[in-house]
This record gives sequence, structure tokens and C-alpha cells, in this order.
Amino acid sequence: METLTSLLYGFKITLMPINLLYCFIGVFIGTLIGVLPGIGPSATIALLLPATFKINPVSALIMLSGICYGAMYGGSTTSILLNIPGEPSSVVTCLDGYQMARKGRAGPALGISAMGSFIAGTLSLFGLLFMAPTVADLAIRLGPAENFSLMVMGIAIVTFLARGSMVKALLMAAFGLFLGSIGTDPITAKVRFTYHMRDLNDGIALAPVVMGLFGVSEVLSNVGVAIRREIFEGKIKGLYPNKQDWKDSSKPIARGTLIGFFLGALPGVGSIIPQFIAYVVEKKLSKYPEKFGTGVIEGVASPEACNNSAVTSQFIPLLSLGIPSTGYGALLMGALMIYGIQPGPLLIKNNPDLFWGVMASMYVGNVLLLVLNLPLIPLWVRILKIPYSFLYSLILILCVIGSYSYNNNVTDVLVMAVCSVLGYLFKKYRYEGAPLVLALVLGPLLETALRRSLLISKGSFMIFLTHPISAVFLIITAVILIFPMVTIRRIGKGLEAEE
Amino acid sequence: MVSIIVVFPICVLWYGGASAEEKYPTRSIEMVIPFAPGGATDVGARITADELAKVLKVAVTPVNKPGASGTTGGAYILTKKSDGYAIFAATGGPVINAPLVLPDVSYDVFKDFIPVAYFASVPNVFVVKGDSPWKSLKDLIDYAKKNPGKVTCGSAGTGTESHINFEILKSLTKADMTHVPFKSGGDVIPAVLGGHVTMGVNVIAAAGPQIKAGTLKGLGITSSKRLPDYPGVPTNAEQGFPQINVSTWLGYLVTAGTPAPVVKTLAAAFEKAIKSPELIQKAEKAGYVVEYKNPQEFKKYLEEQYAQVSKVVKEAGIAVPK
Repeated sequence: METLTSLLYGFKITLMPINLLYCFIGVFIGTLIGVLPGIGPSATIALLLPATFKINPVSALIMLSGICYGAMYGGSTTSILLNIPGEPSSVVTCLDGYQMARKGRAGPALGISAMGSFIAGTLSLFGLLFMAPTVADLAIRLGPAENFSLMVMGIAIVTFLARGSMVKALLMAAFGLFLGSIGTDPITAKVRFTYHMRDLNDGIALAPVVMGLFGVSEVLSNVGVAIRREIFEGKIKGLYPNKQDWKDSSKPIARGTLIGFFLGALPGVGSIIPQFIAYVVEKKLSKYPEKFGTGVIEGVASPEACNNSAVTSQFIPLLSLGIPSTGYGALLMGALMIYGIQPGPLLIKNNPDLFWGVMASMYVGNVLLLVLNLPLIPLWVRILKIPYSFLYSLILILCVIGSYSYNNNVTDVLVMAVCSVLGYLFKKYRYEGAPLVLALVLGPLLETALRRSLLISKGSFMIFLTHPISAVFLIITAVILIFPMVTIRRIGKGLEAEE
Repeated sequence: MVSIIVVFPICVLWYGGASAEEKYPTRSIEMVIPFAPGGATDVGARITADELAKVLKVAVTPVNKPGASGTTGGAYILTKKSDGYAIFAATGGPVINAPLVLPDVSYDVFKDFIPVAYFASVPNVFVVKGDSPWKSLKDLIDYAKKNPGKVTCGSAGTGTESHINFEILKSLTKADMTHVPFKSGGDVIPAVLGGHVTMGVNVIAAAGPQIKAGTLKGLGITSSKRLPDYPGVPTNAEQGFPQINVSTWLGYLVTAGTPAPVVKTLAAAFEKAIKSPELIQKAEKAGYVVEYKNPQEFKKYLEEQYAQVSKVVKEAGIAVPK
């Protein structure tokens, strides 16, 4: 009851015209930077920070948090239309979203993605209000041992991403693990595989890799091939999702929301891994798993719902404990400190108008975003009608600027260039990029968690079993790995028949 | 034709010469921050940049060049002209710790940089979980000695100030405790809260809110006096460990070769900015202890810190081999 009165209080604050304005500005900018590859919420918040010194902290935070979840809405747009993830975390949407666009179903993909994001955002907001203490507690309970087991579970699902040859998928995953090990050893600070290029000391950044591997390589594959036109032009059938799409997407959205809500709050997990998990869960539960990767709506609905609920739930440890679980979360904390507000367990007590105002604004922001995004779908779809010479030049420009703006570093652009060539070769020889991306993200996390756990346990591997949460994750992993062996149905089987 | 050939170079030389005599600064200044946006350094540097811009009446633009424990930013600013239009917002990490601990840092703080102003320090604090039984460093050390190998301590990374403070504690007490490095200070707090490590070392800015809420207990702080905001946290000095005083500090440098008049103007501007009550208020809210040092004092401080960290690194053997 008390929560509801506080929430109403929050709505009173949010619905003040000035805060509504800031909310709108925030989600608008957020959508914009979400669409643009490379520049993300972190860079934008850093840029806008000085401007926010003059306005009051509540309005400033409403705007800044609007940027965060607005970016998650916008990120899927270029993923679906151009196969370039607008945010590194939108890479999972590329897998089926882009394929849907190629079949002429870009409109439904964008529509379900927007609606799914809205539903996820709203549901996770209610989850946040009523389950915040539980989730915050869970976030703390994950230490290095639990992180390790969670990552092992993540690696196990790599095998489910494979559409074609399992061997090729595993090779890509292995390559991803190797790429992830480039850089400074997290424990001893020794530098590995950088060949004295200082810019590689922090490892290979994900955003340029993903832009090169997915976006630019697509451009390279299509250069000199004149036939594609009809696929896009003729069949733009239906700009909005039809009834069947809604029926198919409802359960995936629900599942994606749950997965994103619980995993997004955990520090160190980020928003990419939950989306891969959501995608794989859909694939496993679907009646036609072999169709995943060719453009099924569930493959778009679930990850999109997942990333929006993850961005909402990352506010839980941020505002209730002062522990950020994402990069832009850390920035929001920095902003709060500059405003003179101390983030931490006392935030809700000391600054109730800030907390409840931001919570209410998240609901309002989601509504605004839906209103913003849905009518724009026909406009976005028209982008596909642009002649390729312009479209591809645009993609190249966006990717180059995007990879530079990530860290103000030219090395990232080089990384992107190398990955685009690699991506082109991978496409030609039918190797998939998704396992590589997953392994690139998971590898460093896995290694670091393993070594920290062993430092804490003084070398004993039993730590992974004596910690109950960790043991649970490992058991789930074992089940995931053994299950296909004992059942006849395999995921790649249908595809092998196809080949 | 001839007139162009004659007049044009004269104009160029005139303006070229004139700008050397014009008052510095005439255009916007870049402040290079060698860490990612949102971190403790970034917050402090941005607050200062804001105030400095008011004093100098030109824009001071913060630019983040994160990476490699701050050495990417260091290498970047050394590629710029030494004309006073690029300032390095440095902490101990990129200028003292990194060159001593990491193998491939190509610059030296005393040869390649000129200290301009010391801004503030963020003391480091030893923390344990709020409900743990230890009330002071001594309690914790006694426990560690009775249970060798059981005490784990999280730090913000190998070679950071938090790590070095821990190593000093270890070498002074000869207790068998294990160092667990994390990726950044932010990761230490959840680890201590969740009981995954016994203790942690972190900047007071990050640990402060938890200490105030009671979820963490501060056992010892590296500042010389107790902080007014945290009267319950004893200093390391009053507990018999005055050597554990490596605080995370923030200061501003320019590259060597910057003309002396420019350095003088900049130093005066920084002094005015750092001593302004608005800035002090903002900075203290963000967890900084503002204590301005002028260029000479700053240089002396750098030399002291370098000597001390050098000693610790050698004794504890934490330098990464080349």
C-alpha cells in the first residue's frame, strides 16, 4: 500500500510539465543514439552532463534515465533494417530481425520490437516496485563463484545457437574465446597477445567487432551482387504486425521479460548475455527450432523484451544499493554524486522525490517511446527502399564514426575493419557470427570469475559446489548439455536435412 | 602579384608572432581524462573543468581517453603540442603506479610532465561487512594471524592505490592474507557486501554511502585526520599504521616544454578555481578532500609518492615483468 502511495507521489512529480519535457527530451535523444551505431548511452550521458548542472537533479535524472531505456528501443531499428546493431546489446536482434526484413517483414519486426519493449518496460517497472529488495539481495549474493557458474551456463548455450555445422559453431566460439583473452590479464596485469599495441591493452571492444562482423560484412558481401533488389522492394507486405504475429509473440515477450528482469540486475552480467539466453530459450521451446535464424518473430520479440526489462531492472541495485551493474549505470551514479546526492542504501530515504519521480518517469517514458516509435515504422521501412549505393555508403559512414566514437580511439576503427573482412569470409564459408560474439563476451568474464574464485578458495574447486547458487547453475548446465544426448530431437537436425 | 607575395608572408608572420605575445588562453582547452566517464576521477575533473572555464573565460572541454590503467591518456597527451591547450587530469595511477608496475609505459612523470596544481585526494578506506565482528584493524589482523590464508581482500586492481595500501598493511603486519583484484573499485563493494571477500579497500567516495547506511564498516582510512563526514572511521595513523597513507589523488599536469609564462597563468587560474567555495562544496559532496598544492608542493608530493610506491612495489614484488 505504501508503495502505491509513494508511486502516486512519484507520478505527481513526473507529470509536472517541466519533468514531462525532460522525459520527452531524454527518450527522444535516447532513441536517436540507439539508432546510431557506436555512440551509446554512456557517451551521451557524459556529453550532456555539464548541461545538467544547471537544472534540478530530479529532472536531470529523469532525462538521463530516459536516454538509457530510449536507447534500448532505438537499438533494434538498425539491427533489423541494416544488420548493424545500434547498441552492442542489440546484436541478438540482428539474427532474426534482419532476416525478417529481407523477407519483406521489416514492419512487423519493428512493430513487435516496439510493443515488446513497451510491455517489458512496463512489467519490469512493476516488478521493480514490488520486488526490488529481493532482486537487490540477489544481486549481492552473486560473487565470483556464482558468476563463474552462470558464465559456464552461458557457454553451454553456445551450442544451441548453431544453425548449421556444430563443428563450425564451436570453432567460432573458440575463436571468440581467444579474441576475448587479448589484453591485460585481469589478475596479474600481464599483457597478452597485444604485440605491444597499447590500445589493445584493454582487449578488443565488442562494439567495433559487432559492427564489422554483422554490418559492414553484409555490405561487403553484397558489393558486386546485383540481384538483391527484388527481395526488399516487392514484398513489403504489411507494415504492422498481424494477428498471427501477436499470437506467436505473446509468450516469448513474457519469457524475455522475466529473463531480462532477473539477469539484468546482476552486476557483471550486462544486457547481452540475458538476450542470448532469451533467444536460445525460445529456440528450445519452439516447435520449429530450425527456422530460427531465417526470420521468425519469436527471435525478435524475446530478446527485445529482454533488453528493455534488463535496463529497467539495472536500476534496482543502482538506486537501492548504489551498485551499478552496467557502464551507463556507473555514469548515472557519477552524475548523482556531482549533483550532491549520495547513491546508496539511504537514497530512497533521503531523496524520496528523486527515487519515486524517476520510477514514475520510467512508465511515462515507455508510453512516450511507444507513441514515438510506432508511427515512425513506415518511415523506417522506407529506408530499405534507398538505392544500395547510398544505403551502403551510409552504413559504412555510420560504422566508422560509430566505432571511433566508442572510445575516441582509431584502433577501434581498425578492429572494425579487420572484423568486416573476417565477417565477409565467414559468410562466404558459412560460419556464423553469433557464437563468436557470445564467446567474446563470456570468455573474459568466465576466466576472471574462475581465477578470482580460486584465489578466494585458495585453489580448491569445491567452491563452485559449496556455494548453493553456483551449484544450481552448474546442475542446470549439466542438464542442458546431457539433455540432447538422451532425446532424439536435435536442433540442427532439421537443418542438416535441409542442406 | 608582387604585393601578394610580399604582403601575405608579412601578415602570416605578424599574426603568427602576435599570437605568441597574445595572452594565453585564446581558444578552448582540452582536459584529457585518462579514465572512463562517470568514474571518481571523471567526476572531479569535470567539476574542476567547469570552474576553470569560469576563471579563464574559455571553454575547458573534458575528453575521455580511457584505457591501460590510464596510460592511454598519458600517451595521448604527449602527442599534443606543449602549448598549454591540453591539460592532463592525472591520478597516481597513470603517472606513478603504472610506470612502476606495468612493463611497457614509455613516459616518466618527472621528465615528460610539469605539475601545475594538486586538486584533491580521495582517501582509501579498509571496509568489512557491517555485521562482522571486527571493530578495528587490530581485531582484523589478530583474526588473520590466527587463521592464516582465510582473510581475502578485494582491491580495484593490480597496481592500484587500493592494492598498494593492502600490500603495505600486509608487509607491516606479516599476516597471511590473500589479495583478490577486481576490475575497478566499483566491483569491490558488492563483493564485500555479499561476503565473497572478507575485506575490501576502496575510495571513501564509493564506500561512504554504505558506511553511513551501516551495511559496511570502515576500519581504517588513509587520510591524516578523521573525515568530518565519517567521524566513526579511525585513521590508519591513529591505529599505528601511518605508512598506509596512499590516497587516490587528482592533480593537473601539462606536458614538458610548455612555456613558463603559460604554466604560470594556468597555475594561477587553477589556484583560483580550486580555492573557490563553490567548487569545494561540489567536490566534497562527491567525496573529495580538497587541498590545493601549488606546482612546487605538487612536485614534491609526486617525488614522495614515487619513492614510497617504488619501495612497496619492489618489496612486494608486484611489478609485472617486461
